[in-house]
Amino acid sequence: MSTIEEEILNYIDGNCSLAEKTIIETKIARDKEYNLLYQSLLVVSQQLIELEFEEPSMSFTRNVMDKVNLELKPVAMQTKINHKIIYGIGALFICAILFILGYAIAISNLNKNFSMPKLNFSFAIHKYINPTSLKIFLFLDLVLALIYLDALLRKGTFKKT
Amino acid sequence: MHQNETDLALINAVLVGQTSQYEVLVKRHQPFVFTLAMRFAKNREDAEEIAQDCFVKAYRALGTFKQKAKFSTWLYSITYTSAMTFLRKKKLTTQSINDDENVLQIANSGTNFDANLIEKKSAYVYLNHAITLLLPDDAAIITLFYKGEQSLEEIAQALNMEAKTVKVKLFRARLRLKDKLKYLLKDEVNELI
Repeated sequence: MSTIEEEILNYIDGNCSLAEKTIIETKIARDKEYNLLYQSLLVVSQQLIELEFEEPSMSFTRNVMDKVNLELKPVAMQTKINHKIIYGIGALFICAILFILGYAIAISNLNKNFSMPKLNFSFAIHKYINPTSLKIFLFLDLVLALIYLDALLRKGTFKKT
Repeated sequence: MHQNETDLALINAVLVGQTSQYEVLVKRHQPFVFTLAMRFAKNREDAEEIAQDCFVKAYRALGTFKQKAKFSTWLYSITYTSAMTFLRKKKLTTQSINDDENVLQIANSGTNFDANLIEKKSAYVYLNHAITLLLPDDAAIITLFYKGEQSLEEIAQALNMEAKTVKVKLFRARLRLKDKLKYLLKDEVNELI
């Protein structure tokens, strides 16, 4: 990679900092070879800007419009979303929840004493650790490792392409 | 900026049913879209097919155009993908620099032009020919940068790449272009560039 050419092209494109610009301008003024390279790259850049466009055939626009007229008229995506329908669906769900809640309150006997259900938190872990559960655990680990490896390899392949 | 606004006005007109306004958009952007297509297809017939396909696809998807970016950037991204699809279908092989058919023939420009103009025209012919010898991606990036009035960020958006990648690709494309020019011009290189 030629750093001098890259430097000059960045200067011509206006993609360098003020400090770099000053350094390059000094080099252009003092270094004859550098100046020659700058001039040649500047000329090519200018010619690339001035290149004329290729013109398609006279019937190009007509052909495009003929094809376009066979298509369905495009519609802005925003107009396709009817907010009334969205709000309607939302209202329906809220009504259903309120109805179920009201019905549940209506049929429940609120006079009875309410007591918290007793929960059994004692957990005999030794019952669950057996050869079968260990094999299942290791198998799941293996599957997860393979998925991770696959994702890692795919990422590498995409970066290369 | 003004043209960008007008593009948006035309798009909105098309979206509310004035489909004939799309013709104005086509006429406005067809030279560049066709030039870009030429960078991939290398012959006029195929380039017209790509460019037509691009405008039809753009029309179909006009409703999804988020009017935040330039219409041209969006259109060029469609051109790029259309051209790539076309290349994949056709399996075009890029021309080798040593092919006999690549020997450049400068057309006789007539006697009405002054010497400077002829010389300048010759330089443009050489430059155009050198671009056609580049790989499609290189030619497209150079065309988008110099003729499409697109910034590195906009080119990155159109080609679905990082801006830094575009910068590196642009630099390498210009080096390859310089090599092609040197090959074509040989001793005349210093006179023409």
